[in-house]
Amino acid sequence: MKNRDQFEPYEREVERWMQGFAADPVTAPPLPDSQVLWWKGEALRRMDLDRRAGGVLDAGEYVSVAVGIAAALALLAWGAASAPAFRQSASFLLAGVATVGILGGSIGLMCWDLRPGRPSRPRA
Amino acid sequence: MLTPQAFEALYAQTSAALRNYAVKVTGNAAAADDILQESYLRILRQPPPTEDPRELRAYLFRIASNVMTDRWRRHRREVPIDEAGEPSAQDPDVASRMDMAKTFGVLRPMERQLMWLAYVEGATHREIAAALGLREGSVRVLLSRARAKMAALLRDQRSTSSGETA
Repeated sequence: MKNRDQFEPYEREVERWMQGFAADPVTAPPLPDSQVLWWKGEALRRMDLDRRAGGVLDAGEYVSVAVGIAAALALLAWGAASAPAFRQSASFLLAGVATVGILGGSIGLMCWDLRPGRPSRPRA
Repeated sequence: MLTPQAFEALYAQTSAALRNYAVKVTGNAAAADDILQESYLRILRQPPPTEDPRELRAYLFRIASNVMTDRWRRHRREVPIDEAGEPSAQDPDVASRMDMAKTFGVLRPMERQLMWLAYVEGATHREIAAALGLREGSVRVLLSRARAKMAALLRDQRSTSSGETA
């Protein structure tokens, strides 16, 4: 051994035994074909790449939904602040209820899509 | 990324030794084949950090050691060879082989890995430390303990067999 810093009296015996044990033939089926393994590895590698690319698209989708929600809220707030008469009207109430409903639905769908363990979506 | 030719060359150079390592250390031929496949698939999925054949071999044994450790953590204990449907010990050669496997199986899983990497693969303490995720100093101590344990086992075995023949 290259870096054996201590040499016990029994060491040679252990070394001999280990060499004998290693030389003992293994009774096992033939080794898998290297080409089959290579193709398996290639398929897994492509799946990894696809998953990584899909992750970027998913993140982009969530960002666009979040921007849309923020814009809708800002528009509602701006409408209410700039036209006080509009704030008193039934249309404002209706618009408010519709906006909150749509936002709630969007947030709910987004959370459903982000839940842990969801199956990945098929991609073209 | 490994080309098909580079992979084939690596496989031809290492597969028999890697399977021998996995079979002898786990004591289970079926598990050893899973470990072998998993190790090569990992090297194909993640480009290896080196192309040097010796370093690549060490890297492969490191992956295989990690795969084995993961399995042990999941299953706690591999089924020993004689319980795994291997041939019965009628033939003296088979009996002696099974005795060797049983003797080696007395060591703890990490001790078996240490002993194999040191004595069969001829790995340095640094290489063993990298393969098993240990410190170099710990490898020195653990290897010395495993060696002493193995020597005691061999002494016991010898005294038992000489008692039987007397």
